[in-house]
Amino acid sequence: MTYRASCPTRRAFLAQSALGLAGTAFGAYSLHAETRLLSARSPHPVSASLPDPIPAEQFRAFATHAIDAARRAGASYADVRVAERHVLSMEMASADLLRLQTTFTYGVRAVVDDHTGFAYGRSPTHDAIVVCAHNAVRNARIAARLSARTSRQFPAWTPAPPATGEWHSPMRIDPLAVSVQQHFELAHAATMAVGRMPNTQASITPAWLRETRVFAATTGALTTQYVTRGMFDATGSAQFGLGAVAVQLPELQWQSAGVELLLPPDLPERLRTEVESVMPLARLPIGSIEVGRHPIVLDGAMMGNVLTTLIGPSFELDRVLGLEVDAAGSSRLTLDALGTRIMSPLITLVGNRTPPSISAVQWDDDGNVPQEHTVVKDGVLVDFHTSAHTVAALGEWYQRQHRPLQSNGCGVAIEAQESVHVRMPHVTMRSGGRPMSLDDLCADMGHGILGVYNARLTSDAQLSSGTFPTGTFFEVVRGKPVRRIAGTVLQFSTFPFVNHLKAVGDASTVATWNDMVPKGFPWINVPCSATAPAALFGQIDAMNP
Amino acid sequence: MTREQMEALCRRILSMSTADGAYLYILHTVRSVTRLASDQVRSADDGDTLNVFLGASYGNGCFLSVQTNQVDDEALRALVARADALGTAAGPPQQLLVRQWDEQDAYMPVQLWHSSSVDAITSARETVIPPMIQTVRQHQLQTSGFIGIMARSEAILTKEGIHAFYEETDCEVSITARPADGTNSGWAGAAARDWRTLDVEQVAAAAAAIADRGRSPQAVEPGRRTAILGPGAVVQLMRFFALHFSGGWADKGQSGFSHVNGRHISIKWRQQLFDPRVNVTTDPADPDGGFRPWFQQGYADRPTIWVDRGVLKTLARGIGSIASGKPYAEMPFGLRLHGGPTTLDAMISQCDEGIYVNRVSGLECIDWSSGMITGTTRDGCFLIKNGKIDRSTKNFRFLMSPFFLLNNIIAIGPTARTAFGYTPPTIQEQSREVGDPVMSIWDWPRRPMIVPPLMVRDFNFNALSDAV
Repeated sequence: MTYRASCPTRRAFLAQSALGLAGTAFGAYSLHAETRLLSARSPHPVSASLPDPIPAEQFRAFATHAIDAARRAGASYADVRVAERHVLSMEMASADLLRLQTTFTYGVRAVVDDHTGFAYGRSPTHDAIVVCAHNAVRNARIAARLSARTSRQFPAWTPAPPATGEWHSPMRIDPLAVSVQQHFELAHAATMAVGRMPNTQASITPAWLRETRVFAATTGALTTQYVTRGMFDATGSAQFGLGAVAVQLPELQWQSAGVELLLPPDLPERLRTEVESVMPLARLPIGSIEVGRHPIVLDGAMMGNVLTTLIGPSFELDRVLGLEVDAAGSSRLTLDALGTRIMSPLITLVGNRTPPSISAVQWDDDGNVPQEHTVVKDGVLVDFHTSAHTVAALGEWYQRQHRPLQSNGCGVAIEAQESVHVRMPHVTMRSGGRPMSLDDLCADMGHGILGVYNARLTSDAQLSSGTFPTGTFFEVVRGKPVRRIAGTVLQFSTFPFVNHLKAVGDASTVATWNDMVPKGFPWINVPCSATAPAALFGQIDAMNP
Repeated sequence: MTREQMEALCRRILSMSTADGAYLYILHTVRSVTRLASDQVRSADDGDTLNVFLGASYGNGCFLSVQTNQVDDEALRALVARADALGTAAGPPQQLLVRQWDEQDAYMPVQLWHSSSVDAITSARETVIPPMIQTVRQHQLQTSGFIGIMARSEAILTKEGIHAFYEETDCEVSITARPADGTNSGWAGAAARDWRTLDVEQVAAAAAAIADRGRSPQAVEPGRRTAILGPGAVVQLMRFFALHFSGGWADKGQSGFSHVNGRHISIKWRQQLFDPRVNVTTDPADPDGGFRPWFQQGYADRPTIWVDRGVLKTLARGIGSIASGKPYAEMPFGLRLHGGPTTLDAMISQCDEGIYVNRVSGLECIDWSSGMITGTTRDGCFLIKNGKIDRSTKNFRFLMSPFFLLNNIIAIGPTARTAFGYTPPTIQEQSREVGDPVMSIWDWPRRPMIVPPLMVRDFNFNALSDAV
């Protein structure tokens, strides 16, 4: 590769459709109230600000061109992801600003002697993607040559069965077809409904992603996926001078869906009801809790946070195999732990990438159909989150289980120009079989700590411990929250903590947590999510900083 | 792209534009990243990306920007036509939030482009990886890590003739050495603008030496202890310290530089906040790091003294402060914490009992008013006794504020540009933006920091950590 500018004389690919032209339309709006109204009144659909859509056949031809180039250059396997994405976000805190960003990117992966090379680009020309494919093959050759001098080998590449076809994620109302005015009206409705109540506030800040992604591989795979995702922030909170206690509507989570999510007419009212439900907690006095070990009840959202931040990534097989040691980190789990009990028998965890989860796809970025897979069954480790690059490490285990050697479909390149990593799918923790509300769990606990909804959670590079440096925690005495805890840090060791699970809430306590989780190098944030019931744990360490 | 190529491209586009006001921003990045895991090349990535942003304002008051990654005439005409179509069809006038280009700022000359680094983008993999792995393997350890090399050029040009240009190269090597059973690890890293100044084998040897010495770590009682913090630990703590210089957050009482008394919030100017040996500066022309001498829409970035002999001198104010007559300053994401004469070896030899910390991670600020941070040690943690490293210890979780740390200094070592390794920005970092975090901390490589090792008293190791 030479360091030079993209050649200005290249014939533009798809020039007539203005591919590669991206707009941050609707401009920069004033901070003044009057101009906010002006911006919100635009009756035009968002799509009016975009170039004409590109026919999918042209994307596919572009992708196939890369595959042919990689094959001719000597790749034993190659795949390519080509994607055009529109991200629509509304900034409502200080100004009504609608931001629309369009990107066109691609990434080519080549395999030579079981070693991968990767190259990416943004220039939508045939010449550019051919160069990209050649660079990927060259990088794979270098990787193979350098690695040949060492004895240890990565798991063999396990290509996906060749698939062809199209898939649309479920979406009834396209966010790009909705007028700017309506986007703002929907977002303001809940805010205003809750805002009329004293000591409360609410906000819905929508962000939408629309992506067309083509995957092609030398196996003959050629798929096109049209994905729409809502990643809005929708919260309500109550506050009486001691810091807000926040809640969110279960149905307003990040998910693969369209604007229909915001249309139910009773949505503002239900958000208002949710906020009212936490007002008693918000009114509690503030205090401290004795330093030491306490039992704790985590509500569904906070349990989802534990799954998204600590537990779910621990099952990513590239972490387990040590492939991320110098980057995102490793895992406390090893292949030897398969078939053994690693957490409380009350816990069963299932991964899936089906709608409406935020990670829903028909084919992952290796071309595999994602499989719903149980990683922990009644506390016993039975599987990991896998990709085409890693699943071969489970060959022996799968053989003993009489399972075919096939990835669970957790290969993710969140943007086409990123390399593929194993990312946790949506993880669901099974709720308890008998009626057990959040109040019941607190009553069972007697004395201890209750954590609800809003807390940051940090960990270490091996995900072996967790710390809640802040959050909405309450001291529970005789089964009732009596004061809000301030100035206390809560810490735990991940697997001993989940091993001390005492009770699980019923379906009424189930909630979903979403977060952006970084991985890879250079790092890239990927939206991850988990659904869980509330849970009572035997012990957590309370410390006074 | 060279300055001449970028300016020629800008002029071509501006000559096509019918907008009343227009500016061009061009960003060209070439990047090569090679990742290793367990002595194997995990991935080898290359990328070459070009982005052209056209910002245009029209008589109706509309301002907008469009973007392309193609630079042939046809694509550029489409770009300009797109801007014109959107601009003339826009609604009623809106107040512009973009800079009114009335004068050209003068920028400091910086020399951050090194052709050796550009050459290394294509050649480094094959030359440095085999000896790097071999060096680590001599200790019966395995290599994981990355080598990243980047070349980037940026330019701004306006219809009024204002222009700014910048080019940089940057390189970083990060190596983690571990035994095959993964029971302990050692890390070393190095970063430089000029690839020739990086000694990758030396980095590998340092990582291996730490891992070798760190075998069979033992649990040591947590508590407040003397700590010797290697540069890899100090740079992570300074990453959070830098966030306290946000003037806007300080005004709200959300900074260690704020003094909150009931509803009255003031800034701790003219107070001896830190040890008098503490000096913090930024300088676009810093010989060990340096950074772009302008930010956002071409505002000049100049050498700034943030802390002088332990006293706060400057807080970062965005360009919005110009209207109120206050000087602006970009956040000190590329700070220099000035050094002292005591080498790491000298620190260890003068320590009766303490903990050597090679690196920390998982940092999170608990309380902005005190600056209290939680995090864990990693990749090399040792008990020091009677002036010598006594044994390898299990990792600790700690609670520590940089405001406390910089007031409890026993000794300061010589400074060096320090590698960050894998350090994605936290939400907290992203929220305290003044300047251009996209080009400073959001993406790799982060803006360079130059820090010394520190020996401090009463570092709060509050718990043991199970993590390796």
